[in-house]
Amino acid sequence: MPLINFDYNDLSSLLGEEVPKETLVERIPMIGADMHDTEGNSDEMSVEFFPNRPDMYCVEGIARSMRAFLGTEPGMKEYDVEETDIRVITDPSVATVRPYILCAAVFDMNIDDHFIKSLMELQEKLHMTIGRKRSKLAIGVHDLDRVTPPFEYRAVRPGDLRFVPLASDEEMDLSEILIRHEKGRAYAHLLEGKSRYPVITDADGNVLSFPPVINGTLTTVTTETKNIFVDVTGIDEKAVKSALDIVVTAMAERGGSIGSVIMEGKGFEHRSPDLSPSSWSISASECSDFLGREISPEETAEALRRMGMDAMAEGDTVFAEVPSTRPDIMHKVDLYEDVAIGYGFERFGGTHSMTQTTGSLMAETMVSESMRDVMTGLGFTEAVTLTLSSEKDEFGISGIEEKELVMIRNPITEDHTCLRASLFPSLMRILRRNKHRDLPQKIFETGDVISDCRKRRHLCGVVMDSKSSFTESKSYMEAVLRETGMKYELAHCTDRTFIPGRGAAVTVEGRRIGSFGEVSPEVIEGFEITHPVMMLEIDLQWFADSREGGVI
Amino acid sequence: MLKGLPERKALRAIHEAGGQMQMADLAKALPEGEDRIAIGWLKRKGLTEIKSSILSLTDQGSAVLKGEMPDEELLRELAAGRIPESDADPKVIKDLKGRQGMISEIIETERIISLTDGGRKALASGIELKEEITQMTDIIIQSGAWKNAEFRKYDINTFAPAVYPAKKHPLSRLGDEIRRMFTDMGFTEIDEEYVQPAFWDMDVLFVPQDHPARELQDTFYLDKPSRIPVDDEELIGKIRDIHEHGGDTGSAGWGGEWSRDMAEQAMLRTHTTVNTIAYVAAHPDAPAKAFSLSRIFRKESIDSTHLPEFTQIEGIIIDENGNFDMLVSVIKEFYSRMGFDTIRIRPAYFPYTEPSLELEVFFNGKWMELGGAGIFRPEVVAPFGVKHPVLAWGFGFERLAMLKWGITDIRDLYISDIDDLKNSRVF
Repeated sequence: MPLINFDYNDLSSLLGEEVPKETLVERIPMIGADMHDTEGNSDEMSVEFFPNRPDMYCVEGIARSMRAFLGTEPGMKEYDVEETDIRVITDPSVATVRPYILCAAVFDMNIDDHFIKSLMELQEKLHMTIGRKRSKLAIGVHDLDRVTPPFEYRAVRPGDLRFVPLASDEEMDLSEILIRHEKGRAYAHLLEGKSRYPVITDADGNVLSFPPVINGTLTTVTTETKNIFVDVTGIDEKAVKSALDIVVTAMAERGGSIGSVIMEGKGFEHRSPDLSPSSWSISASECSDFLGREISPEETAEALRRMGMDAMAEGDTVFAEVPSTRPDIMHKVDLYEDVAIGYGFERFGGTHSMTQTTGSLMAETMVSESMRDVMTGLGFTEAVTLTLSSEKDEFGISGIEEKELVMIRNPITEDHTCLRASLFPSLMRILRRNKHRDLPQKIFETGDVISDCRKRRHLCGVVMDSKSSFTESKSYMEAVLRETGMKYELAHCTDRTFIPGRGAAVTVEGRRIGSFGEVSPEVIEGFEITHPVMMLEIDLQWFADSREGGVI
Repeated sequence: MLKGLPERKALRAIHEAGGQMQMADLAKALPEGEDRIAIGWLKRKGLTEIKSSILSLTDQGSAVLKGEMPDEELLRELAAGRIPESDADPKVIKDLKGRQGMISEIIETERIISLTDGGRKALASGIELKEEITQMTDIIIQSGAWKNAEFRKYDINTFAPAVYPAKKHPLSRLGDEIRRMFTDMGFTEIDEEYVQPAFWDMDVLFVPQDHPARELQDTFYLDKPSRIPVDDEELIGKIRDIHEHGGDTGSAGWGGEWSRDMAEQAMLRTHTTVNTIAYVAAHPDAPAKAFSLSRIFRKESIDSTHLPEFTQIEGIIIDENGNFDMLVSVIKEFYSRMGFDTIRIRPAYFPYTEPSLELEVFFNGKWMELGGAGIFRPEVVAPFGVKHPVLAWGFGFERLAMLKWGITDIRDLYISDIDDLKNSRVF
């Protein structure tokens, strides 16, 4: 989630009134955000906003939302848009590269450092989130007075155009930028396989931008800049429009006046930005039923106004105008949520009257519960371990007969490359951690292992002591088997896990369900343990699936 | 002392060689460096003289040949058993203690108890001597000896060694408590597989295919198996429509082209919402209440607050009267039963719920986030013909355990220290 950093005094001046910091710390989370701790008396504030509210990825947007939410300026904020004769001509050559572009102008800006910082952060956040790391959209902000309209958006051969990119003082062609410039290297993959790259140029052939990679240094915005030109290019028309609307309205919050430009291309001509709201209507009673509180149509409309929308009630119907900076409103339930937030989440949660039903536990849970009683009764302490394991521990070291494991494609560490096929290695790792603790140590686990991509509930017990005894392991296994009431047979187990001749396999109706015995010194050493160990492991899934037998 | 002390062996060898011997010859007679030990003691006890590497017996040396040296005498006596320190020459003891592995020392303390005046008086007034029983045995019971005997009264404050019961793990005790709470409230326990196609973990839950959570850096994808085909063509069609344009749900959808290939990638589930959506698919009618307490996997590096595998407390309610207020009430009840009374909910965002909320408890002077919840979006439930709101939540289990027990390192939960487990209290 994007973290927005801003200064309390800057927010206050944008709010247009003094709101105590404590009030903001308490109220901002209630519009849908994660408030980070602020350092004592510091005026620096950090807030994480959710991916559905990109309009609040800048302090200007937060101010707009909070003015409505706190009740000082409810309803939708209207912005005047002045028509200009700036034209942006889209050449059909971009269709297969980066088809969409929308632009706007903003005049009479009074730019200070707060704003430049906020603007850069806003662009960065929009690039990362709705821009999906610039693949879906990229934003360029320019000093309008350094270039001459009309502007042209076209795709050119990488070697055909040279300009000085931002953060450089050297003219390069487009392919050089992708190789030599830091941003070029970072975003080169977005142009992979394209024979032409997109550029925005002015009437004199000056390069404003090479989207989605880098702007030209010519149009850099500074505190001297008065008039701004914004371009947003991308492959998703809806996202491009949302980003442009969010950026230009943020500038308007800083005192700029928005100017529309003419977007022209093959078969279209329209003005941009188009800040007209979308119209919705919802039934107040349906919304009220959904939320579970008696909220009247007028209260519903008022809640939406607190969420920065225009809304009015007519009978049971509430008509809402949703600003174009709210792309998250996709369905009427999205408006229900805004009603709930505007009404106040803190007002929910009275009492509930769920329909009576009967509860039940899974067979695996009940089998495990019984087995945990049996094992603690036998003096074993329970351990709980992770299902993630490594091929090496599962088979290589533990000597268990190899079978197909679920293997992770993108593991983080070599300790966690697969899902375990038995519990024994997990418990050996616990013994390894505790090898310097008092003996004897008797531990067990009931947990899931994976076989053929499916979970199976297993039980495993291990004993680490200064001596090990096959007889003891057999006594424990027979105690467990006795409790299940299953008829079983024993056979020699040749797994490398055991000292030869001291391991046994348990079979029920011909299928192997478990094994026990004295662990081989090679396995013990493999787990870096220095004491004898005996073990028993049994597949409980058979019992869970059949739910037969004694205590189970 | 089968062969005697090294110097005794050397004496015999020198005597047999005629009272004089080359040091090099002694080294042959007493191999493995024993000659050097012998020479040291021969010299110290004044038994030989050395001139130009030739050892020759002194008078004392010749005298000792026939008799026993004081240290040999003490060793012989000790061979028969322990002897008090006072019965031996302190110098001999000191010398022997200085030699490796010859004798060991046992310290015995003797205490003399005598009657005081008060005791003498009490004795004078007449004491009946009676046998006192200390150790109870079966013979004492069976013979009836206990009838005429007194039992020694013990000091109850005397030290007794600590013993520890074998115990269930604290996490599974907390799990039992949570399961009991949900079954008491009428919930059915459910679980699905860890290994899932992205389809059930993401696509059915309306997570857009370009969502960051689907990237390799957040989710464990699998090599074996790498794909899990989804064979429900009708459902595939519905999900594709919903993602691309909202289908017939009244939603706008995410736009773009939905890829079946991406949906069939095999992965480890990232949330137990896989369980609840599968339950909704199978039980779309009200009333239905289900919960799960099971593992999920996310590509997190291990540190004191993160593990790549952890546990979620998941649940859904489908109810004729289900609504957002009921959801908030159930969540508050759950946490208040877990011992957290100061609870706050605030708006949040998940792609599959609307409204969405996050839940925080006030603990140690701070708001701590414990989980998320919401009502499943129409885009999520429409394909299954659900007619009532589906209230859903996923809470963190380990975080709750850590708050309850004041544990600061999540790793201690899954790689337990045996002593911590012994000392963990069941209450």
